[in-house]
Amino acid sequence: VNVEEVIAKANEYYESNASEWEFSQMFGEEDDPSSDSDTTGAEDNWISSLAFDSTGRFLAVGYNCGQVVVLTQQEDQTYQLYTEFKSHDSEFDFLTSMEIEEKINQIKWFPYDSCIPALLTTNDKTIKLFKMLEKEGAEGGTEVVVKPKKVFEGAHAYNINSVSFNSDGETFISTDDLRINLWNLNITTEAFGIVDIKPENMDELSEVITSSSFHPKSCNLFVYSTSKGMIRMADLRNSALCDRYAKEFEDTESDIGGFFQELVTTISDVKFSPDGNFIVSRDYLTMKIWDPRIENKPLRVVKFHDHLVPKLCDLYENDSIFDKFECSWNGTSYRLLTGSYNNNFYICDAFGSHVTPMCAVKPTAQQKPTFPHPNQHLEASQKVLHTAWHPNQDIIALGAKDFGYLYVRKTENDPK
Amino acid sequence: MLPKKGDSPKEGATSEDASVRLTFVKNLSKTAETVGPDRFRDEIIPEVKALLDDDDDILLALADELGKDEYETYLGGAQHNHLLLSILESLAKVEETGVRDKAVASLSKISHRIPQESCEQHFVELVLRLSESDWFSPRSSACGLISVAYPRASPASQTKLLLSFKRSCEDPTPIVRRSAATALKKIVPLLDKASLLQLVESFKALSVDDQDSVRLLSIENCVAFAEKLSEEEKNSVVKPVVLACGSDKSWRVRYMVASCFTQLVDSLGRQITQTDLVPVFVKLLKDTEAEVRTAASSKVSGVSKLLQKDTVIKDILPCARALATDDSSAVRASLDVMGLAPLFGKDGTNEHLLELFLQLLKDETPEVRLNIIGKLSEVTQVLGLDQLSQHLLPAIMELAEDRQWRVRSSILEYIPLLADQLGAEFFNEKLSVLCVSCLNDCVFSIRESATVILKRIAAVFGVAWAKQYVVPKIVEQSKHRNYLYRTITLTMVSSLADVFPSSEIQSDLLPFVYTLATDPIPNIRINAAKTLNQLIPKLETSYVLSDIIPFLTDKLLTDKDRDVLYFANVALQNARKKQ
Repeated sequence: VNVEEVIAKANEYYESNASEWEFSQMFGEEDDPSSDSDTTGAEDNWISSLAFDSTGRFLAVGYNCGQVVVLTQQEDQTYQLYTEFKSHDSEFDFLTSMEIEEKINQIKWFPYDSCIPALLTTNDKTIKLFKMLEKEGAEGGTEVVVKPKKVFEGAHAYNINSVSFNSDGETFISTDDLRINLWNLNITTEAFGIVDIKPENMDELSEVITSSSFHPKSCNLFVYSTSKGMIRMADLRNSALCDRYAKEFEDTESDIGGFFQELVTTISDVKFSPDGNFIVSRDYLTMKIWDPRIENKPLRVVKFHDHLVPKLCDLYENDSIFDKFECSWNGTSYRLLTGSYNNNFYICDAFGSHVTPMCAVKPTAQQKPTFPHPNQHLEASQKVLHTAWHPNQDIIALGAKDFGYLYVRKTENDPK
Repeated sequence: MLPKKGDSPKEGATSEDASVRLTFVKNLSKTAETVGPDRFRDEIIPEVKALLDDDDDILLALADELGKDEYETYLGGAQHNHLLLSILESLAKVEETGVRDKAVASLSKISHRIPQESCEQHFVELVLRLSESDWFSPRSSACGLISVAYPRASPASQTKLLLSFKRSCEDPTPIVRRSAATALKKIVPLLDKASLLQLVESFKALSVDDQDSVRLLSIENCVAFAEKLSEEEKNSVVKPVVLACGSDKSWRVRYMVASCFTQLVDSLGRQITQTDLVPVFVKLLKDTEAEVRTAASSKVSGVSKLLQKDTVIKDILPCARALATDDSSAVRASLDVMGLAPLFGKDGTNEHLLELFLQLLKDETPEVRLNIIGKLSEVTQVLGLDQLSQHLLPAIMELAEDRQWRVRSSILEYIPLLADQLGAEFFNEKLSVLCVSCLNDCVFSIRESATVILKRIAAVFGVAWAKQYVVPKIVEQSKHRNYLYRTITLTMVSSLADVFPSSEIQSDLLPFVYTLATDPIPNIRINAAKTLNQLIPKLETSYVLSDIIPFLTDKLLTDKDRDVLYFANVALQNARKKQ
């Protein structure tokens, strides 16, 4: 892959245009004005995960309350309700006397198009495989029945943060703070532990795994990120245990220094680009794009949170510095999407220099779309943590507390 | 839930309750018998079809049930078999792999019973339809059915089947390519040379597939192809694939080469093995991944038997010696060098192998030592007993005293084998003490095993031997201070009764039972009563009448414990039946 060519092509094709994207839809229940968002139960309806399937036909939305809503694309490109189901219930772990939340941490769709779509959902401890069947309903119309086909449980002592399908269509990995397990979709009774970073002496614990993802095409490669800002790539072909990683990526040129250095380098999301040629990592202030062949520095650093640097103290005080933002590639591996505060989100050229800031808000007749500017008051409670990009169209989904937004790129101005 | 006369047999099928529907499926054969062929075809089959979008466990039961041979009769003859085909076709399209595999298996079974005239239309067309589906699940099932349809198909259809199979080998989804790679070895034996050569390109393509899970299936296909090709073709077609897989980047592919190595050697023949395969095997024995070394080391004997002795000494043995000190205990425990002894003969074994055996026999990991002991037969035949016993016995004794009871249990399992090979004298001198001491092991499982082991040895050495050597030990056992260990006497008696004739049971074994029936501990008296009950069928009727019944009757009058009385009564009733 000739990186210069990639960058030139990207710059050539896309022009930054503030009104390039427009609001398409909003979903979620309108806020009850009398409810105080600090009361317990009000957070139940917050979105905790978003995922398009491999065709873009479906968008799955996971919630703190364990509910999953599946939307399907109509002919006019909008998404309507297809089905919804309760994926996980909260449980009580008797050994640790802790409650296991029903919050859906991640949803991933089976990578191959099938007449019966399947998806994996996970909470802190248990992963489930669901399949959606269309049946003839009572009145003659079609109804959608969702069935839990497999339950993968009992393999994680720590909280699960990610699941990822292998391109072989047969296996997947699940990742918690210290370990990564490899499962076969047909076998729920066993899993292979392939990565284990638990130290012999837990007092020496200094690093946890924050995210992991398989390569979209190579069945043997996966990456995982840690709280120390490291990205490790492991090759399943090398050996049965992947503790000796094949590559380790670290950006040693730090920008901040000082007390907050470690807190802002923790990586909240890491994934390969859809073409498999690059890796993106999202830390608190930047997104970094990596060429897998170069381990000691990223190919590009995309900055969009510089305005937060002077405010890190406040963000630390209200715990916002620990927020975990996701990021998403577009289908052609040229652009990246990530969320921020004030319901802002950024669409960035991965290899160009354009960063388009936008704000997720339902436009009303009176209010024109506002755009973020550095001096705006920082509203940290309004955050877009979860994002998803349609696999082959320019449609993006954003999750901001209990509301989901869909934005579409207007295509009239595209070069023909 | 059996259908009663007057019940509509179809009711179960439409129940809201999934377990009722499942029962309906499992009782399908009984329903068929009740209603007869005509009604079965007209009324029941439509109900079955309505279940086709039901839960997976119902579909699995259905796929299994319909494959059974009886359904031909239930339907009213072979001409109706095709009714099942359309149901199974739907099941073969289902997402769930378990259901699909079962449907494919049932379809294969039924296909043999379809009359030739209708096979083309009903079965071959079905397979072609599945292979042309838009979805990957039916395409995957189709691969498994091609080897079944091919022999029954017309030449024109055979061409079509092969063409669709080739397409499956290049399918965009790995799932279908895996099914194709798995099915290839079943198709190869069916083809004539011309058709076989058509598949060579597909075979090669699968062996260099991007997906590890597809590539690793190539090895078994290598074996299948090699069995049908000429020497020259083996060299040009199969050998390159084997060599490539032997140095594949993925350890899983290399593992498959190691575990199928004896088959590869067999099918590729001496020439290719000598020149090309030996280096591959040596590399696998030194592989960086422990799993691969484990697979290869378990094949050392099997492969060596097919090689020339010089090659084994020069190339294989040095590796075996390295493996005996491998870091991984799993590798050392799977090392199979015992089978080399017959190859080397007495002198050769002494010179090259004995040291290796002894080293493994002293390994720190119990599993390694157990592996050696389990395979002794081949070595004892070559070397003879005396040489081995001086090394063997200490090893056996140490394993028998291992801290982990499962290790003790394993060595106990080997005793009958050793007794058989080594003979009664050896056993009496050296091993009998061990067995008897196991009767007093602190773990019950081992005490119980010991009684079974002694029985098996008694079966080998005979009743006279048992009376001379085992019975005296029972005497001692029955006088043990601790009741738990006295109890085992009764288990011992029951066990030996299996190999003793009635007269000997009566004269030598029963006295223990009588004694323990008056033991101060009720638990022992209960077990004594139970033992008597078990022994009654093996005793002579006259003895039962003259001795057992009076004894038990007396017991019922004198014993104070309720449970003892209960079991004594049970035994008495059983004894009275003999009258």
